[in-house]
Amino acid sequence: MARLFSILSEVIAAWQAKDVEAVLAHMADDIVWHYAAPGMPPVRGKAGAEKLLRRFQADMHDIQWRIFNHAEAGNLLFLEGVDDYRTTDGKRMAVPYAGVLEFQGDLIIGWRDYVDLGVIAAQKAGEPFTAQVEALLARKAGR
Amino acid sequence: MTPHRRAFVAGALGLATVPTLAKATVPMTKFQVLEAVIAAWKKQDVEGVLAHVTDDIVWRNSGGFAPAIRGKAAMRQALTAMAAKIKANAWRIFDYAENDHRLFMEGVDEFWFHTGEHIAIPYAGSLEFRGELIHEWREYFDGRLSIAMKNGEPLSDEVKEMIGRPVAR
Repeated sequence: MARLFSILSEVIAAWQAKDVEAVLAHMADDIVWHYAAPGMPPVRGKAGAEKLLRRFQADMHDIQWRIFNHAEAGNLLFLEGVDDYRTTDGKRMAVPYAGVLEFQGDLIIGWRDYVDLGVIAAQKAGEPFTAQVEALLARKAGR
Repeated sequence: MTPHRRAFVAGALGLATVPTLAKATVPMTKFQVLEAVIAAWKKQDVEGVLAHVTDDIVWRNSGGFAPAIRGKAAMRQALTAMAAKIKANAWRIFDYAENDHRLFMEGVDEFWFHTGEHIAIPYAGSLEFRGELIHEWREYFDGRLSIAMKNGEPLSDEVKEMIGRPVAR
């Protein structure tokens, strides 16, 4: 397994286990985290990242975060994946995205996930998944 | 041997002076193909863009909110319609990575309409290749941001920061 992707795999495992401290252990103190680029401002710093992680985890259940494809160049890891989970009120959310992670050594210092906030809003409103979202979800997860 | 290394060796052997042989032995990297697409689109050369995609291309250019554009004919139609509205574009790539048949990219689609609106959408995406041709193209971004800019709203500070990065070489 490629080096940076193996680190991300540890983050995913920690996230699915709802182990916030283990996720934070992979982040640099001065991380800049665009969790919904380009529509939302980034969270800057580990303290802000922790606050965001705890807020997310309160409303994310049965997390099936998976990665379809990835590639590395130097300190950059590119990926395509889906954040797939259920909200506390039982709605399934499945948001396809592309992400770019910048590493400083083994720590993530920049994290940019590009998503469509309109897709998220529609799913939160209970609308059925569109055909194009279903097609993106149907891909085989990569290794 | 990497394509760049092959290009160097071909040059050293004088193969570049024999165009057909040089062409046969120096394949383009995936990023070079993307650079050629960007150069063509900067000139609004629709056929120049289409020369780098397969007949059965699937182009998901909407971040997930609209259906994919399927096939070269449909892509030609979409690009021709876009070219008619766009006065100038400054599409550029900040970072990229390649693996066996895929190129990942992070960049900005920046352009100006004839009617004056300025659009700048930071995005990440991937291109899947069959040989040197792109057969699947996926871009992820916030479609609502695009609509807001088309309605004349100014670029946010976050967007300005994201698009202010140096271009990849």
